[in-house]
Amino acid sequence: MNWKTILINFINGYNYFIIFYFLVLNIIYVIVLLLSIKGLYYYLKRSQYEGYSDLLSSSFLPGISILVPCYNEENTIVDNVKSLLHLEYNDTEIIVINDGSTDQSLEHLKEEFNLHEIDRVYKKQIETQAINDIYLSATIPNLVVIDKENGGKADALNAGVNIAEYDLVTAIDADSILETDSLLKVVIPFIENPKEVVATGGIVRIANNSKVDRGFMEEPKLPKADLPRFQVVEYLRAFLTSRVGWGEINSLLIVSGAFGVFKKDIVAQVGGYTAKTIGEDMELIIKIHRYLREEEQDYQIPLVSDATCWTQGPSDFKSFVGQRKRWQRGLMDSIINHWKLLFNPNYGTVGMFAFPYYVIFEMFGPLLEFLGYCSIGAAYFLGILNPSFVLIFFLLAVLYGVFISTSAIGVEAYAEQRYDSILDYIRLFLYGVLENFGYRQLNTIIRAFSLIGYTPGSNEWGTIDKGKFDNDNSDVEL
Amino acid sequence: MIELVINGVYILAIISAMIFFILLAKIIYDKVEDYRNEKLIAELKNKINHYLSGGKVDISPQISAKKKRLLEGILINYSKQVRGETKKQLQELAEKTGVIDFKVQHLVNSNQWWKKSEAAYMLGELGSDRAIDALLDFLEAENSDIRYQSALAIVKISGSEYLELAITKLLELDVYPRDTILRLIEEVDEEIYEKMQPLLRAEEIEKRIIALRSLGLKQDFRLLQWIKEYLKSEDEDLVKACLQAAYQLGDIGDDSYFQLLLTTKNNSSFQVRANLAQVLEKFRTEQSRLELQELMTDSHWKVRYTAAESLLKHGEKGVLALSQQLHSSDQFAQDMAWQILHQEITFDSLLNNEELDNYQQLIDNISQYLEMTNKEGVKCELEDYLN
Repeated sequence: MNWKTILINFINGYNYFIIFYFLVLNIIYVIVLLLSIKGLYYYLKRSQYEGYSDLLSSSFLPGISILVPCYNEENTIVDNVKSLLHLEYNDTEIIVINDGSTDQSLEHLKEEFNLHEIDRVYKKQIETQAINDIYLSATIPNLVVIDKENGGKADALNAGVNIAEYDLVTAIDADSILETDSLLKVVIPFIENPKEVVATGGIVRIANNSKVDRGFMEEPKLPKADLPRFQVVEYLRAFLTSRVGWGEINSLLIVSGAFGVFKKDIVAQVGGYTAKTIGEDMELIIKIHRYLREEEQDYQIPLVSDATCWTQGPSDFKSFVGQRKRWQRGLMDSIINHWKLLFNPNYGTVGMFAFPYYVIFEMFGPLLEFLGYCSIGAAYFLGILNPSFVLIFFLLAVLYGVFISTSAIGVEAYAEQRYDSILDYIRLFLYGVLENFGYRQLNTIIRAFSLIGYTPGSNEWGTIDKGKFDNDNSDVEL
Repeated sequence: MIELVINGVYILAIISAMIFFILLAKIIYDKVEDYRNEKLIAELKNKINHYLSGGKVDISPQISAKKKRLLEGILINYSKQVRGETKKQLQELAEKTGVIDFKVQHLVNSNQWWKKSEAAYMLGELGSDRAIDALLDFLEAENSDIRYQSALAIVKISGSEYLELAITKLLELDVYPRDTILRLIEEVDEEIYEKMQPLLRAEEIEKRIIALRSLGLKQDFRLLQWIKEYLKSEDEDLVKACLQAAYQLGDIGDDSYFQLLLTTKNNSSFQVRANLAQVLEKFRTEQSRLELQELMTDSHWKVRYTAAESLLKHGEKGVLALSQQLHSSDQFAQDMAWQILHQEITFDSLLNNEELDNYQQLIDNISQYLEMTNKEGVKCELEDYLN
């Protein structure tokens, strides 16, 4: 057997593997999609008799500490804090953690909220970088600002957990905006099942070009630029047809760092957010799963599908690439740190389904897909390519992508209908088709190269310039 | 293989196209419905307003199910905004227009648990007595949502009348968190002591706790005898409930009661001790402050923290007591006292209030502390104040 035959056999074998891989992946997608639809259906039915207004006025609504980690967010931090002050929730404490910003973030906060330095007791339950100063506002009694040495987002969040007064803490990115009733909705699972619910997450959506007024989402709009539009479809797919489904089998491995609520005790018990990773949100959730399964405790981590947080998606190519690299590296950090969970029945559905899915399809998936494209090239040069099969298979893959995206948009239209215009939905569908021709491949390549060039143990902040929320619905300033 | 893939392509293309068109149709349908409903809602609102201003009922009970749903939505929205006579008028209108019967039918006949739960919720919001009998039947429902929504609706409609029954039925199912049941009791405006007595006497600790907590929130002083009795219990949750109720009742000027509360000071549970520290906030006496100063050196931070906050609420004497803690041998007590005093100095101009009885002593305590801890910045601020 010469090298060419070996190569041909290898490529043929790999192609069969890819077909099998594609089949399994898509079966999982369909199962998770069905679970999501079931979860959303019952959630929507139950929300009709939830009695939000009764809950809001109840003295039994638990207090919550809102942690806002901030690193060089001078453009958005003041608006963000203002929007948090107007949430429909009675008992909150807002803790902004300035993680050694090199811009004017702290100065803007000091000026806007009349901050005064206070000597405050700092319970160091979780180790963090040194705290420089703690400020209280003369105008807003429930606002605390911590100024600390730079240590990364996880370190900033841990400082917030250390100082938080309430039993529930939520981490909200400084460049994100919560809908006014989102916090209440995401806390409801803690009220309904206070013993078992240890964390909840909400839905994150792309806010570029939406009408935002002084920190409030006035009118959601589709972004004008292509890149954020693709992200709208991608976020809908990720949250409404994937994470909701994983949540249904209590195997949610990511509660987005942009909007999640946790019991403070459990965060402290697992040692807080892990500083030496940039995927601190996923890392924390996996640590919680792992800890509670090892302790054999009953627990739940549900996703609340209509608790919405709006965020700015990167709208330039460089920021986008940076964001995706960070996500992939964060994913890999967590998977490597918790390798023990893989196919381990002691960790239940997390060990047997969710974790293996993330390892095989999310971590290695992009590389396998990238190699699939390479093998098509190699097959062409070796003269063994069946163009009609490749074309039809590609079409199948595209249509599958379209099917999943359309389902996500359909679920959105059925459950939420945040966009007013019918044209917006037609555009979304169009971008759900178009993303399969370039955007998806771009994502694959970025993530595949991140996998190859992976180096563990970073705690840096992302330097994605997401711009400022705009009040006149014009393009995002960059 | 190719044929299989081609079939897959066809199927997916058809499914995707179908989803797209169904989605489009759904959005268009919703928009058209919204537009139509707007007109219907405006028409119904006019008729409701006409009725409320003394006119006749101009809505037939024979209206379509869709119109009834819109009507019930409007009536519920109105009900949430009004009280008294107007609310009664709305309930009458709901009965006369058949909305109540419509919802009772949903509750009784629907096969879906969520439809039954929703119907019970709506009946509670509409508030008509006519629904009570049907709702009482569903206190036995196996589904926890139906049972809770029925109990809530009964309480909203009839106040305390069936309260004990509702709580007992909810506790039978053992799935509702305590606060959820307390939230239900919160809906009752009238006094509930008589209804709660059987629960206070019950064997089950959970029933006693719920009765203590709810009566505490109502600040019903008849609760005192029960607090005195159950404070001696070995059950931690029951003792905590007693202290929570005691916090609501405040200082009743009974020293033996105060001394009894203090027996929990050495309880092994830090939560009980923290609850005690909170209760002591309400007892503005010298002994209470001494106890709080002692609790500020407790082994658990939560107790120390609560004690410091309670001291602050004792006014100027509490502030003075806190300033004495600045020289405590316990570092945390010192820090905690300083945190609160620093906050008061910064925001409440404590040091500008020279009329305080022990002003000089307070200033001396703070000055010595600043000297001792080398807090130069604050020391300068203090000197500026004093000059």
